[in-house]
Amino acid sequence: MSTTIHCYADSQSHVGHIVIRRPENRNAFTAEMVTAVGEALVGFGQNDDVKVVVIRPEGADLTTGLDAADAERIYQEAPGGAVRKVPSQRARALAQSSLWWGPSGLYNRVLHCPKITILQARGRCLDIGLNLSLCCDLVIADESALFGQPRWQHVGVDGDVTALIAAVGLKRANEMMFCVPEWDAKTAVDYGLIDKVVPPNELEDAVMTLATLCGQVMRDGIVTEKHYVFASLAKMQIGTGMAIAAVMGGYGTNLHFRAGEFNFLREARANGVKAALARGRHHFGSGQ
Amino acid sequence: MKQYGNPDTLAAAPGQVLYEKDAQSGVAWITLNRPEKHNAMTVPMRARLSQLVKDAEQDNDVAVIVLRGNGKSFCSGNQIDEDWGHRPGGQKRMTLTTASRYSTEMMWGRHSFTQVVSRCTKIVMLQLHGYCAAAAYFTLATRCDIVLVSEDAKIGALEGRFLGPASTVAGIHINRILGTKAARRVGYTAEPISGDEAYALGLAHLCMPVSELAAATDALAREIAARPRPLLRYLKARVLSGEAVFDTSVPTITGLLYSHFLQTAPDEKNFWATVKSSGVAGALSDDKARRTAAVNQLKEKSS
Amino acid sequence: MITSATAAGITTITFVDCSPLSSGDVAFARRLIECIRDASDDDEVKAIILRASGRDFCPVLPPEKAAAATRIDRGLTSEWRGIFASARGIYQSLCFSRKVTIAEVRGDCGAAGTLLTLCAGLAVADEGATFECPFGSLPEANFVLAALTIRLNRAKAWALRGQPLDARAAAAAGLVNRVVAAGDLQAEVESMGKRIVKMPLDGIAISKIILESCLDTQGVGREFDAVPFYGMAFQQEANAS
Repeated sequence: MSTTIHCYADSQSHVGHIVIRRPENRNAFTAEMVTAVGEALVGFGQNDDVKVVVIRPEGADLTTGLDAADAERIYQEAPGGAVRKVPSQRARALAQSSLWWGPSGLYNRVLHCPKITILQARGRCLDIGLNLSLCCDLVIADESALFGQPRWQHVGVDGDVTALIAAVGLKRANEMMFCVPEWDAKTAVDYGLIDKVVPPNELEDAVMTLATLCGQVMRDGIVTEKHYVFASLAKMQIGTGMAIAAVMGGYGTNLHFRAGEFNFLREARANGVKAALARGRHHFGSGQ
Repeated sequence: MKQYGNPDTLAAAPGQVLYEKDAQSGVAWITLNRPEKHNAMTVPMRARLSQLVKDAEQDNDVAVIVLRGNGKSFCSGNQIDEDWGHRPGGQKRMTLTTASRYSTEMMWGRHSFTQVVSRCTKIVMLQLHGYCAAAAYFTLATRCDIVLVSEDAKIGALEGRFLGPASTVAGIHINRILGTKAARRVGYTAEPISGDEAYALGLAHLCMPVSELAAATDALAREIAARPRPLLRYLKARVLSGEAVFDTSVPTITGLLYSHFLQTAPDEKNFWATVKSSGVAGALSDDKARRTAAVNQLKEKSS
Repeated sequence: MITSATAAGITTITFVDCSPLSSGDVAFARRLIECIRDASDDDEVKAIILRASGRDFCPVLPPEKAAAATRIDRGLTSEWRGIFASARGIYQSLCFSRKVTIAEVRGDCGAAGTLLTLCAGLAVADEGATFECPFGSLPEANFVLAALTIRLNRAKAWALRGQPLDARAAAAAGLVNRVVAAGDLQAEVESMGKRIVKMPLDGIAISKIILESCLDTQGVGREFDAVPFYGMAFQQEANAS
């Protein structure tokens, strides 16, 4: 297991911890980190002493999302990804599925974890951070938290939206898709994206108290109920949304940019995703 | 159909679930009347409630049905340790056949009291005060069309603390009513939500001090019942159809009420065993003590 | 009666008000469909605004007009079916437009205006706006869409009680994205439109494909498909009154 994802279980409190530890990069995830978190969740799922899993960051931010360097690499390394100059659609769908939405993808693994999952959120909770908020059972944030998917305004929607709609309602989901890239903590709790907002110095306590209380519930009760929930999630079509996301997610890099449009992909290839996002903020103007 | 219960509970049920109607206004009231037990429900009481709803559904005088409870709370939950013929062969534990009868016919399935309310072609309102904090009655509350709550109401499934969430998270309709986050929160923390929260989330249509609740429910019931009957028929039919399309009308899985089959691990407290030795109140306070101890232990660790 | 103007990537469709839709006015609906579908297919367009030039977005019909509206032929072979209840009809054309649509709602918003608001992607209202419940008078009103927007119980109470939602309640429930002073309404909507225009056209296209799929899996399309039968039931009950 990498040091950027640190996991341990406390059998007394019955809590499994997954700590994101790359604060110098605002906890941007490499593909390896994504896989590590998924595997940790599977491991905790099999650990009879763990009833609750807490996912939390070190540093000021939960995460800014997938590391720029890996965004292109994961396509190239997928089957059919390096046959031609540009990664094929099959490579993209396979990568999307493998990393995020398919049976062993991160979001699927969070959503289908047979233990109670709690997310501790602060600072930037973007991209992966937003999806973790949707897929974890419970989310407590501090006042600094910002939730969003900055990529969407540049390349359109490329993930599951059924879970977003189910959490916040359709109009608000559309807002994030088309004109408001980030929600602050107060908006997020008002809209129903997260459960609670606390002052920064109370965040850790609030999360651990919640985890401890949830950990008092009997093992049979938690795991059995979780499996009923999995059936319900499928019935709510959240699984369908994920399947759509896996195949549609790969089309984003086919985008044609018209004159006057900010060519995010060209900027990203030339100067890196970070610089492209910075330039993009300028293009879209500050704030909402 | 066979009537389940025992001679005492069967005899008591009519006095414990009351029915009145006002043909003039088109409103009928079904009132839980077991205030000494905070309206804890027996199998015959639920069967009677079902029958009353079905009868009102067929009664042309009735446009709106109001569910409510006498005493301090709407309903504290199922009668614990009730003998209703659930061990017909004298078995030590409940058989799957009995569990499916209980669950599918009585609690969550198509013929259950929650589904009879949910599928009713008349409008069903709920006047909710005090506790409505056991899974079955939380589910009942989420099956009514229009819910009015008192500010001090406590809504949820408290037995989730020691029995597991018992489908309070898994109901699709619960997710579509509360939003997915609140649905998880109610289920996994087993903390009740207040009337104010129920209103803010969208479960309750109105929230007010308990002293105003009865009058407000009455007034709203009469207001709705005064709308043209063909229109009300059509609107309720639209809602039922919309729910069918939206997939909130039937439970995801109506098989087993599984809590009776759950096994406590050695470090976990067996709720049923504790009830036997200390009663329900004893078991609840025992659980509260354990939770408090766990949190205190956490605080000690971090300091 | 309905004008459409496109500038800087935004098509603004303006009517005095859209109450003719509440009356089942076929000519009005046809023209509105044309404007929406043309803009939806225009590569120069990314956002579509629906705006009323009159005092109210959709005045509530007076009793005689409302009564007449209940008696429209809503049979399986009726004109109503094609214009109000089909995939090429007004509400599905708006709901499934390939562009981002915004309802700019000032003042009274009668049944059809509320249904347009539900079908639009985004909505901004002024502080004085009130949204009439569409379910009592429009069988084409989509209950699943309402439930996905404001949550199930709110949609139920709204439908069964039939009371309008004021701007504050509409915002709290998530029916509208913003509530502003009347004087700021147009500017707020245009600012929203300008943000949308900054997105790449292809990005909007793919977003709408994903969104439409997700709406369909959750039953929005199925509910629309049932509208012809809702029309028949409505007609039966209206005749019984």
